[in-house]
Amino acid sequence: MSDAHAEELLSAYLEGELDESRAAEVGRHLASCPNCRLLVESMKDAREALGALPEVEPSPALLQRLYAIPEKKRFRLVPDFLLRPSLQPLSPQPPPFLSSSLSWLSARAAGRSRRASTVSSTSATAKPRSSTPRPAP
Amino acid sequence: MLVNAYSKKVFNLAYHFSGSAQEAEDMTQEIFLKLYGSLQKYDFTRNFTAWLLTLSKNHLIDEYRRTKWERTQRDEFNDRVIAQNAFSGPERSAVREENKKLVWQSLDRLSPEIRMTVILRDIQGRTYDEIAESLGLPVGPLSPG
Repeated sequence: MSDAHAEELLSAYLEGELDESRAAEVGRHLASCPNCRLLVESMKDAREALGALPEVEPSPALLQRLYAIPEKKRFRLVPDFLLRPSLQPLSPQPPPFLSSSLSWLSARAAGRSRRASTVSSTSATAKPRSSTPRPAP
Repeated sequence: MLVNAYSKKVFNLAYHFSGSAQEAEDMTQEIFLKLYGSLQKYDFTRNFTAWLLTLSKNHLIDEYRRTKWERTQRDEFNDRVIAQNAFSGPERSAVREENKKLVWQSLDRLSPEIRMTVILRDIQGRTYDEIAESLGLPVGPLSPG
């Protein structure tokens, strides 16, 4: 087994993800290769260093803030995403205020075009009337 | 109930990701605000922890990109967390602390996505399945095997 090939397998070897024959092959390579042994030791140290980081308890002040969220949500007057840009909704749909504005604008535009068509149809119907000869007084 | 069950996990994820207790507290609060706001959208067939991880990961990475947290913040992490672990012998302890500093310096050089993956796997001990689900990836590219 070449060093490069062994290096590819070392992480899986350390995590016990290799099948028996592969693991035995890597074990034999490690016994004869000081470079890969050193690398495995470094990887073990790095994993140990990461794994040994202690879990930190959230502070009581933070917990109080978190417990208060559902109450705040219930009584909020303005949606969060309007006050805090970082809380924009993740959904691909536009935010509610935008969609309501869009629907208002489109309704307004539809109303205008309806009115315009009514006016044009009125004027269209009015034309022949105006072209009809008036009865003589 | 959600706070009792998940605040520590979310806070630690944010703390390990940002390296700053103050940032982590703010991020945790914002993640819980998002969580309460998105509960109606939660699909009950999905694993809740993985769903919360996705929400937390997205928020942390987005905020990191938006604000570009200062690198110096991790120094605070070194002082507060790394130094607080006492090991058996002073020599071994010094070596381990040095290793941790090296690991954290290396984490700083990683992209936020890769850093998040390392934190989830090697610090939080998540399974590859959970990480893959939260990152929206197949397990293959994450697993070392």
